[in-house]
Amino acid sequence: MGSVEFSLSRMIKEGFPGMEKNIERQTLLLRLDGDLDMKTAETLRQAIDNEIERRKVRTVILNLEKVQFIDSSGLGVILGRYKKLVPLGGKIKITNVPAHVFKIMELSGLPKIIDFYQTEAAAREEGRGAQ
Amino acid sequence: MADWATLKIEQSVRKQRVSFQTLALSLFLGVVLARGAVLNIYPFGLALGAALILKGGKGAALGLLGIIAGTLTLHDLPLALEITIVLVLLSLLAPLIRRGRHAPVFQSLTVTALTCLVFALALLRNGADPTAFFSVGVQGVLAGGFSIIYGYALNQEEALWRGEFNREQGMAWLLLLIGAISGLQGLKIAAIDFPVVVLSFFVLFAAGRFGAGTASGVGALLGFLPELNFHVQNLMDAGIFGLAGFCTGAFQRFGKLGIGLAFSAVTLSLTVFLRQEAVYSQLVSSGLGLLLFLLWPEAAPRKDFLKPKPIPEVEATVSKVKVLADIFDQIALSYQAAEAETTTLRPEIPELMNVLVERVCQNCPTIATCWEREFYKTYRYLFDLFSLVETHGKVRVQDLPVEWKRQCGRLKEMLLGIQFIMEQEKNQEAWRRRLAANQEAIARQFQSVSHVIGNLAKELNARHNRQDVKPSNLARRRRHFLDVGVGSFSKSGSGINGDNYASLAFSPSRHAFVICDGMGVGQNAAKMSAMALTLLEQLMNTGFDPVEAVQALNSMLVLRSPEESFVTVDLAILALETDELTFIKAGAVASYIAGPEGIEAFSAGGLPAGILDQIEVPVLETVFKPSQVLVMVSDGIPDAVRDGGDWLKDFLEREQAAGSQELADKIVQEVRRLSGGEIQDDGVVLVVRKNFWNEG
Repeated sequence: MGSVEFSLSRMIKEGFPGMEKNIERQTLLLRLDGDLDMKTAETLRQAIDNEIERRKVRTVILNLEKVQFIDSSGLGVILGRYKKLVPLGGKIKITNVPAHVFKIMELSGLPKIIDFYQTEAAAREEGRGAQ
Repeated sequence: MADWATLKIEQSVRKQRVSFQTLALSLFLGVVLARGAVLNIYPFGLALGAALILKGGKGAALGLLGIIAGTLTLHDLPLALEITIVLVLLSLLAPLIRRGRHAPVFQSLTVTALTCLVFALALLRNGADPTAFFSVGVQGVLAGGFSIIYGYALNQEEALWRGEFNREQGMAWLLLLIGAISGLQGLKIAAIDFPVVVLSFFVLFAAGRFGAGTASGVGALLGFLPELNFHVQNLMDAGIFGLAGFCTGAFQRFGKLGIGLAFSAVTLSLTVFLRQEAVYSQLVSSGLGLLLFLLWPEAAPRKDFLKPKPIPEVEATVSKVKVLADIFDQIALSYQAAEAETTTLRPEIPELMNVLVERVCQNCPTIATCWEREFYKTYRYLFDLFSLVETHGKVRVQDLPVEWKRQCGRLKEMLLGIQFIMEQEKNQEAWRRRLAANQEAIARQFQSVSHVIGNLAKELNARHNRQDVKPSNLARRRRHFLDVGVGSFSKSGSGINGDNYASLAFSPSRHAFVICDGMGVGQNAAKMSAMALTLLEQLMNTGFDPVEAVQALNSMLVLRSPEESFVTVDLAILALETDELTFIKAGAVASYIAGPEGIEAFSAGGLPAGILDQIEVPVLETVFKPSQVLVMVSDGIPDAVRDGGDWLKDFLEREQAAGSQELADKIVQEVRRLSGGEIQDDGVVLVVRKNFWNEG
């Protein structure tokens, strides 16, 4: 099988304050900063959905290192992306989660369906480094 | 089957025994009732004769013979003749009387008329005075009236042998007994006074079976009525036996021996004080009555086959309901099978390749070369192309190997065609997955419905067999039994609380408290949580197991609102008859149990309801004692402080509140204080205690 290289890597900053977006091949990496709550959840949802539609992104990695708080709206966005990606053969990965945010996510059962990683590098490596 | 076989054997044995007893009883009653008199008239023999004639059967002839024999013992031949004539006439008219719809009424009227006629004719022949005609009229009326009562008593003969009477049976047999005792008046052999023997026996019998009240009444009636006069002696007898019955009945719980001792003591003392002249005879006769009572067998314990059994209609209904449950199970299995079939129907690469060849290669001039001479080579290239597009999605022609470009002159069209087919296939795959998920959800719901119907069948059967009768007023008592406090608040600037709660008395022995938190805040969250709460309440009240109810709720919410909104469900189920407490948490935050032994938090990582097609619902089981307090909250309460700590646990450790409502209010006050007046989320708190001391 021939190898095909895609060089679509780039880093941009958009309307979501404190969100870094990086797309490499079909993988979208988002570094979030601040609270993931009702105020920011919609922006995050649009950002991910656009990349799924336009660039056929199938893997979304969320780096939550700088997220201080997540509420039900934030959890809803993550669960919604999971629900959208799985039928397309994609998946969502979460990295660098602060302990108190992980506690909230754990109560909502996210670790049961979504893989959590210590670092971005671990998340990029399929099936390795899961907590 | 064994029950029914035993019943059949016992019934046949009983039939033989009853047959002999019936003959003996008929003869005995005939003799004694024929002798019975009230105010010097003899209605009892006539009444019994009429009842026996109308009833018919083996005992009738013997009973009639007994009546004639009893009448003869009175040494009054004209009376015996008159009674015999009346009975003969009645026997002749019996077929006509039996034919009518109101046979007992006709019987009574006929007996009255014939008695009056025959006795009046006899009086006319003897030239008696007019007052005698009045006595004849009274005799006729009494004979007619008693014939109905005696007829009823004879038809209920089984009650006599069983020793168990309902009110009507008891009264009928009591009146028959009064006539019998009346007939025994004056019958005395040596020191044995037969009326006293019989009277004593029946007073003891009533005391043993029915207690003080009934025995007292029976004693007074049997003591007074047989002679039906107001002589001092008669009234004294009524008093003695009435009081003896009352005192004896008070010893019912001590069994036959206790009753016997009490009866002996009472009759001895009363006779000594009131009837000193007949002490010996009275004591001998009472003693004989007591001996008969002691020898009389106890009431046979009820056998299993006498218990109420499901009547055929109920059994048929239960059977039909079970079949219905099986049907729903089958439907669920069909859906599961259909789901499996859907997953196996995915087209393979060669099938997709055929579609591509039809579209692109059909008009290509080299089709014969590619697909005939170089089939395997072309097939491999095309297969690799499919694999590449499947793996990488968008692929450009310039990225493809050179030999591929040489192989196919329409590579660009081929690539576009593959990408189009793969995209289409992915969409179809997404729909197939969704269809499979929905089919699975529907299958689960059918299974749950099947369980509910199965439980209904069990409940129907159990209720009919009276195996599981719960007090109906339990639900009413719960407001005294449970001390519940509620507190709530909305996000600053929002007038509507998106969190909802409920207290559900869904089972006679279990009570549920629920908090539902809709995603987000405000009106949409409130609508979502209210809908979830209503559905959950309906499901649980219908008989769904709480875990199945939450799973069914999830399926319903997914089907109703495919967009990404969800509801957290926090369910606490209290067993009211034990200390068991079960938490079911779907995306809900921790609950707390506070008590003298400290605070314990209960949390479980369950996914919320309404977003994924299938969720596993975690269940936590613990003990909840009356000395403890259950605190359930929505996420707005722990999230009032966003430092990752558990402020609520610390608060509960230091806070002492007298009542549930007071504690709920204090928690809400603390949230407001910690939020500095700017509340970030909606919140609900439920505080529950068990109040055993208030029960009742």
